[in-house]
Amino acid sequence: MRLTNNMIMKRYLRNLNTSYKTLAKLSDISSSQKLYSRASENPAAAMKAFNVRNDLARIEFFKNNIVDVKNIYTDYEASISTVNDIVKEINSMLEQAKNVTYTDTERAAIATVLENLQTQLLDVVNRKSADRFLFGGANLTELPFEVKDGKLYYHGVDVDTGTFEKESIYIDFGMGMSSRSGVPVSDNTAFNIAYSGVELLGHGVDEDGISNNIYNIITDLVQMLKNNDTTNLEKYQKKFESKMSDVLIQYADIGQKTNFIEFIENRLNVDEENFLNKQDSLEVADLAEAFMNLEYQRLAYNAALKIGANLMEGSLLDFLS
Amino acid sequence: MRATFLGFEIARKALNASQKGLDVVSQNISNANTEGYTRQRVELSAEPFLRGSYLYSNSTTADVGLGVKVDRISQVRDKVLDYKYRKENAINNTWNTCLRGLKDIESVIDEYSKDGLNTSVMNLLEKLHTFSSNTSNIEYASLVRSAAQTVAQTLNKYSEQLYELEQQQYEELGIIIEDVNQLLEKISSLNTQIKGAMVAGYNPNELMDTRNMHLDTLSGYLNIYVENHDDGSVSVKCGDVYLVHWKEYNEISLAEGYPVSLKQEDGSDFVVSNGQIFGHLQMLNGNGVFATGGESDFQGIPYYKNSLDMFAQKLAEVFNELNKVDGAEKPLFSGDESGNITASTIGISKEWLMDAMYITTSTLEGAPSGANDNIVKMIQALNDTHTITPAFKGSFVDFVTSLNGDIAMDVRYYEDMAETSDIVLMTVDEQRESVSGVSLNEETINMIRFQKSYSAAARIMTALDEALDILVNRMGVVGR
Repeated sequence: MRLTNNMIMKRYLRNLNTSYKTLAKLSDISSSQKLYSRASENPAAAMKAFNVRNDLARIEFFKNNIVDVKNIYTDYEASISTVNDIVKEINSMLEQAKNVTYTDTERAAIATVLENLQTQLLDVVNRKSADRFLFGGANLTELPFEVKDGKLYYHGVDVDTGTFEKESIYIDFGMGMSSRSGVPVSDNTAFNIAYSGVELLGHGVDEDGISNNIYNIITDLVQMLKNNDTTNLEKYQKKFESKMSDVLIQYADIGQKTNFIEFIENRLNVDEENFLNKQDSLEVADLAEAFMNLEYQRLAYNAALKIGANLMEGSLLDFLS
Repeated sequence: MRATFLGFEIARKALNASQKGLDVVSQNISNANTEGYTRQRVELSAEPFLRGSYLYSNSTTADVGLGVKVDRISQVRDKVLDYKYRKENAINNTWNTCLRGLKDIESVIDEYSKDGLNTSVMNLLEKLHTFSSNTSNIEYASLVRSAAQTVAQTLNKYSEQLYELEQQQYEELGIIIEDVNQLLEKISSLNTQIKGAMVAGYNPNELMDTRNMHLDTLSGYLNIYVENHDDGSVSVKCGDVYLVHWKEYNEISLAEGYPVSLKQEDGSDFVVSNGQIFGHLQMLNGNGVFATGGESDFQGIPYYKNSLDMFAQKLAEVFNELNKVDGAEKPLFSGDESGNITASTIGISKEWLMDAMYITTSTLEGAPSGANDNIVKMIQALNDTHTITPAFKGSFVDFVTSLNGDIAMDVRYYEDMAETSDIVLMTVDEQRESVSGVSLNEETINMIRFQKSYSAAARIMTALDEALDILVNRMGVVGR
């Protein structure tokens, strides 16, 4: 084939350009540590990378939810612990009051102490933390408990006579709650953070006619002690003991729920790490390999440049005398 | 009888021919780097001895020819290679024009290296999660609202940027069409000049080079077929339509309406199938999967515009439906005054803008202030499968990923095809160069050749002169 100077120059330029393009690409990878800077450079990997990114984002949401919930549960735990202490103290007072050698005045003194403890109890369950009433169930803005005519009302309903349904505020921990529409939200797929005060203090009346609600029981007890009426003291004290173990059960429950939250958190951390590894393999360049390739390409490019300088060797014209 | 000065005539012609040869060599060398230059060659032929009439002549005279004749200066060009080059050039320009346009779209919607629609939708999801833990908190509610606003604004931005791209494509197309018409005029006027020159008897090589360069440029704009005529003019055809015929040319222009199309001078339709014009038309008309009838199914600007519009409509539809209370309308997203929602008109409703708690948190009877069942439903809806376009069923986030996938794969594909086409084009160009390009070595050898023949011819002239000198001055001078 007939060769002209232009052909040789054009070919050389083309090859040089290709070499330079590769050099630029490798330099880009080495400095940014990303295998590609646009999705079009590797569409398949980029699409996978998008999905991994979204999965990581979701895990982040769940972890944030967990942090929020942990804080709330710390508050629950502290409050229930206080309630537990109050109840224990009341119980020991009752043990004393049962003692038949006590006089009227002594019993009246106990009644006063009980009244104080009762007020403290009400304060604890009406506590507000971070803009939410802790024991309001699903109602975070209204005061949970009110006392009217000596009777306790929970959100306007008499705790002895009213019916109370299970209240719920469901939070997503990644257990399936929000994977698609219409998934019935239950304790299997989400975490319920609503804590109804009547669950803690009790509601309704038992077969002996004694209220199940700690506050109301105390009210009755105070009345009895002030009147020096010891007929039902034994029954009431037994009742109170059972309420005490109820509170302990609630306390243990909170502890167990906290464990569960931590278990979920650990699982999420493991998932996160797996996704981060996956992301690495899809998006991040191995630095050592990148540098090696870059140096090699630089060598090749420089060699090409050197050769080019000798390409226009000259023609016959240079050799004519 | 031999004519006395016949030898001189022959030698003179030889000198002339060698001179011409050297002229051509110097022309070639000086134009070695000229764009579009075709190397020229002097065509020589031996002149025969023309006897007046063979009937009445003498017999057995040994006739010598009458020297060398310079037929013409021709150029070395292969028409087949020209045809191949122009065809490939049109294809190459299609790939490259589409690639440029697709890369522009990519820079609008690509989410790989910057935050875009995907990020804003995930952000909305995050804020809904936060809100779900305390639906009475107005700060959380505001966060949800501004996250939703960001989604709407991102859609607005994409839409605006795509519109700008569309305008750019229009402008470029307009400029190209002007250029094409100018080239058509130039080619037809060159036709006249070249024909005139050839009729007068000489080869207008430079004019033909200029015309070929115009044809090459034209072939990048649209797919042409060049017909060469014996009188030196060319006709340029695109499809079935003559763009240049003898000295007439057919101006093209943009037709009104959508899809964008072209028309000829007489108003009838004009269709191109390759070249930059075709590339721009693809970008402007390509409706991808939504193409109906004769629309192009290339994934151009309309495809992405329509996809985003449908996304906006679905998002608004789903959320507005969820926000209803007892069937009463309570829209979170709104569109323009007539209620149409598109990617460019979607926004937060006025009511929601005024009141962050406009969002329905619960649909239960007498719901307490912390109930979040409706927020849970919204979270579920964001993750759930919907029929977002007639061709796509999946979640909102999946849709954005798939749109990114569409553009990424198209860019990759067109990049590869453009690269391959570049190589093919360069190969044809190289072949043309091989045939028509100037080789300095070759010219040098020609130079030596003609130089030597010039010296030889001059020598003959001297020899003839000496012979004549003897005849004139020294013959018949006896003893003087």
